[in-house]
Amino acid sequence: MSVISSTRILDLIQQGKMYLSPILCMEQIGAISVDLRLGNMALLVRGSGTSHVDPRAYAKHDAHGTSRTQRQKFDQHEFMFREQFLLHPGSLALVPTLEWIKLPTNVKGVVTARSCWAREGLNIATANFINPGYNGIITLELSNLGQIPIALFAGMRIAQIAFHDVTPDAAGEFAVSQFQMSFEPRAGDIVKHDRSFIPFLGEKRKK
Amino acid sequence: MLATRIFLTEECLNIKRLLDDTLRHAYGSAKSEEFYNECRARLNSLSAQVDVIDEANLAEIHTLASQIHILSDTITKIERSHIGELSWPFALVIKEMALEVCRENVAAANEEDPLFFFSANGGMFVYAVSPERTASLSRRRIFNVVFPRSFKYQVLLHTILGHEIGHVAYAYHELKHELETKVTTVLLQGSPFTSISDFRDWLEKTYKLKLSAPALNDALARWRQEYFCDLFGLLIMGPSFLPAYRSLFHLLDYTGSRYSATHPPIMSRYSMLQDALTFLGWEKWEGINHQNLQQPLNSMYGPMRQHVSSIPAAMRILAPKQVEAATTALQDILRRMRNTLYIHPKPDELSEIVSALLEGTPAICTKIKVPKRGNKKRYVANDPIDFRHILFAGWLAIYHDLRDKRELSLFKINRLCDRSILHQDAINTWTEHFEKELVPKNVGN
Repeated sequence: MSVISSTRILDLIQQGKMYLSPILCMEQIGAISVDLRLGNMALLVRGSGTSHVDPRAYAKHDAHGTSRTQRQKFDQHEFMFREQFLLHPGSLALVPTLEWIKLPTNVKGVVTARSCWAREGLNIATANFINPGYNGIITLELSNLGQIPIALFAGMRIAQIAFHDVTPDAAGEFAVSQFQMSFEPRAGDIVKHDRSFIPFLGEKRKK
Repeated sequence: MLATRIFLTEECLNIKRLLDDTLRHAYGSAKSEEFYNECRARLNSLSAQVDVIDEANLAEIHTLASQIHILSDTITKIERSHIGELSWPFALVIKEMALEVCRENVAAANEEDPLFFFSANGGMFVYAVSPERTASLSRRRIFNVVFPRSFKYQVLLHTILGHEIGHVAYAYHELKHELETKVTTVLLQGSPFTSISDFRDWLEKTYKLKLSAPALNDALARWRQEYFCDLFGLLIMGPSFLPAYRSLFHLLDYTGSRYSATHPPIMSRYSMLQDALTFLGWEKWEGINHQNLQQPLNSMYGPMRQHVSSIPAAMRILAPKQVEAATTALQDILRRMRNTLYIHPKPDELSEIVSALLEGTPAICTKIKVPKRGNKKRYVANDPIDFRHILFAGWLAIYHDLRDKRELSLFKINRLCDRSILHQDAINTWTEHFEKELVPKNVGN
């Protein structure tokens, strides 16, 4: 599983096999990665919204309860270009990339923070794997590990994506991501396919 | 009972508190300042008038109270304006277009550029631009653009706002006069809407309706303006205006012939728009050889043509020749206003956008290019796309045979179009502020 070089990234885009747009300048393309820019929205965890993360809230088959739990958890902010968004120390924000990406079925992506931002305390909580065939924006889990707030602006390069070949026989065999064709960040379903282990609220114990 | 001056003084103080409260919300520092200063200037002017009010002059009190009421209403709407409730990339392009329409008249009226703010209301039919008719309290008007809240991402329907910008144009006296004489009068020539007596006779004959003279005058003025705004909307928004128009207005009045004091019967308006569309050649588009375009064009406009052919003669009120003449006249006026007149894209360009949407990606697609001369270092290119071409392509994608097979819902197509407009905004922002610093010297053909 080799890392794809910038020459091949450019080939894939030029040949229409991979969609990655908008790329605003060549400086966005590194030797083995493409820089990703901050999009125009942030979901910020709302301290007063919920007391704790409870998988049982996701397991409930209750339209109001499930939806409310997810909506109450985050404050949603949208900001235009050249408008500031402050990320405070200890905060977690789900943000979209400005770029839309559509990967071929034999290429996967790996998203990481940019080191220059990491040195300011801005981190991306996880190294995101982007499945082959994924189509949509990429959600980044930003956190401020520093001591002081960080001002962010939509359009800034805050992350980078590297691409890897996937063996052809694996392509097409994987499950479609629950985030396929995402237009904006949203909470994931943390108990998907794990509900058997979660005693959801109101459930009667079987004897 | 409080004395009028004390009451109004107190209300001015209340409005000052309300105005300060608007700053609690995050509009972006540059965005709030202009509105704050404008409203503050108006409030200061009203407060000064209240200070010297003659308690015996009831007419003056009434006028002043009314102005204070309007200012309170405007500030409340501004306070409730949140970009998270509407498609702000679309709102920005609409604002630019409306500003262009106002620009030359603003200078002529010795005013500053108007301020536009956006809000969302409930209901499907709430699209509006509420223009201030005068700038009496200051030299700056405030326009409120209203979107339906549930249509946050339904940008394909937002083309209806083209009609509303027509009302903005009519709000400026000089421009209104020109539009009335060169467009509206031509459009309505030979119809019952050229004189009060003809209009009265037509209403009596068609609706068995007798209106008082003031009501008749008011209805005629409104109807004339509505016909104009329909044509205006079509010419600035392009072919996607009509499917949006039909989708919404068909639900508003399924008979299409219902009487309204404020708007002419929908069937008559629709018939006029179809005649304009035919004249403009947008429904058939001679000379194109793209299955990608022809099939959805036929699917979109076929049923519309059929619908128009079923409209009774009594509702085909405006003569096609007059529609053609008015369309030409309005095109001439719009050419003066930068980027307002819709220009058809080349078929290849449009086909490419339709294909991108059907692939489930936004229309804006960065291309990797190789310079034709110099060194062969590749570079990125983002060809600008007019938002109206994105919307036209969006409608064609909706009517495309491939859409169902690719499981692209109406919502997804709308969001892809919304995303495309956002991407174009990003490219424009980049180009405007940064590109000159970084563009490689060897780029270009």
